[in-house]
Amino acid sequence: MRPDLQNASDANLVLSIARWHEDALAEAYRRHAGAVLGLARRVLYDGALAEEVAQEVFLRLWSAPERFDPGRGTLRSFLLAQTHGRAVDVLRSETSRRRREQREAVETAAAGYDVEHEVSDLAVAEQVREALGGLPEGQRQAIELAYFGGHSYREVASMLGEPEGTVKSRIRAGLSRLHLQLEPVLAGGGG
Amino acid sequence: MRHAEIEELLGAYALDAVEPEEARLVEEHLATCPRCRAEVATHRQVASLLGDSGGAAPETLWARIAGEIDAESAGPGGPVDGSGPKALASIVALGEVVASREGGPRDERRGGPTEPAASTPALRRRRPAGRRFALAGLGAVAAALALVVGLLASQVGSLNDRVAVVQSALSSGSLAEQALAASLDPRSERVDLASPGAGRAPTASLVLDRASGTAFWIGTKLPALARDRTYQLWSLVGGKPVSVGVLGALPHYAELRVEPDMSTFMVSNEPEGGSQAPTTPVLLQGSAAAL
Repeated sequence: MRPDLQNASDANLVLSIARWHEDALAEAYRRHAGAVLGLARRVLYDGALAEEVAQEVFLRLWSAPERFDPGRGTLRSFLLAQTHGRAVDVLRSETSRRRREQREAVETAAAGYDVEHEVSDLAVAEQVREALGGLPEGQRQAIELAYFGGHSYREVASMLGEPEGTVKSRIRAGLSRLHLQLEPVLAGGGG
Repeated sequence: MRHAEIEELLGAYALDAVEPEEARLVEEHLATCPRCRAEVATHRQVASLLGDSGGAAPETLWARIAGEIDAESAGPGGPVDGSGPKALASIVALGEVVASREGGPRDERRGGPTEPAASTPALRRRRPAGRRFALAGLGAVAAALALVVGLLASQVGSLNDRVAVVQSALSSGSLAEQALAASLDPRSERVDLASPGAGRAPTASLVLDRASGTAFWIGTKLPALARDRTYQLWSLVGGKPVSVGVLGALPHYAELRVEPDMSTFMVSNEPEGGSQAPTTPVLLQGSAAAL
C-alpha cells in the first residue's frame, strides 16, 4: 500500500477511492469496518446479516464516493449513518424478529446502558459513557431504543407508553445534550 | 408540514426512527434548508460515537468486497493506466467512467494496478479493464453527466474538480486533463478564489506550478458572462494590478503564465478583449499561502 494512505485524511482517502484505487478502499475498510460491523450486529442481532450490510456499505462507498461530504462530518460517521439506515431497512422487513427484539430492547433499556466491551479508544468510550449516563432517563431510553433497537419513534412511544411528541422531543433534546458534552471529542476526532 | 413540525422530527430522522412518509417529507425539506441539514449532520455525528469503535474486521468479509469490485468486464478495450488523469485519455474512455459511476453494471469497473500490503487485507493484482462505448451512446452519457454535475454542484473540493474535468473534457479535450493533473500534483500550489468578504466559499481556483511558471485556471462554477464581456485575471504586483490573462466569457479551464512575484490574484468582469486595468469591482480574490 502506498505509505501516504495510512495517514490520509478522510477527504483524501475518499478522493483516492474515487480514482479507483482499491488500496484506498482497503484502508477505509481497515479503519472503519469494525465499527460498521459492530453497529450492524448490534441492531440486527445477526452476524450474517450484519456482514451483508457491511459489504453493501463498502461497495456503495466504492461505487458512489461522491456521496461523502467531508464538510458534513467524518467518514466514520458517514459510514455508520449508511450502516444504520441499511440495518434498519433490513430489520423492518422482518416482523417476527422485530417482535422478539421489542421484548429484548425494553429489558435492555430498563436495565441501564452498558457500554460495549472492546473499544479501541478508551478515553472516548469513557466520555461517551459519562455523557450517556448523564442524560435524563427518558432521553437515554428513547435514543437507545431508537438507535440500537432500530425502532421508529412511534414504536418507542408505544413500548414506553409515552406520547409520540414526547419521544420525538426527547430524542432530539438528548442528542443535542450529548453533542454539547461530546464536542471536545468530536472536535478532536475524525480524519 | 410546517418548519417547526419538521424540526421536531430531525432527531428521530437522524436515527432512522421515522415513518417512510415522514422521511420523505424531511428529505424534501433538507434539500432546501441548510440549517436543518446541519442539525441532522450533527445528530448523526453524535450517534456515530454511541456504538463501540469495533475491533478488526474479518478478512473474509474484505475478500468478498474485493471480489465484487474486481469482477472484470468482457469486451474490447485497451489497457489504460487507472492511476488518475491519464485514465481520461479519450472522450470515449470518459464516457465509460461516468456511466459506470452512474450505476452501470458493476463489471465495468476499471482500475490501476494495486499492491498487496502487510497491514491491509491481501489485494489481488488487478488488470485494468474497460469497455468502449459506441459514439452513439454519448447522448446518454451526457445526460448522466449532467445529473452527476448537478448533484455535486454544491460541493467544494477535488471530487467536484474530477467531475468538472469529465464535463469539460467532453467539450475541450486535453486542457482539462492537464488542469486536473496539475491540481493532483502535490508539488503544485493551489490558490482558491472567492468573493471578497469573510468566509465565502471559493468559486474558482488557480493551480500554480512555480517551477514552470504556469498556472491552470479552474473556473467551472462561474456563471457565463454576456458575449461582449470577459473574465480577466489580475495579480497585485508592487501594489498595482497586472493582467495575468483574459479568460473569456465562460472559462472552465485555461493555462496562463505567472511570474514568481505573483501571489495575490483577482478576477474582474471586463469588456471583451480585456482592459489595461480593472474597470469593475473585484469579483473574486485569493492569495497563495505564505511560505
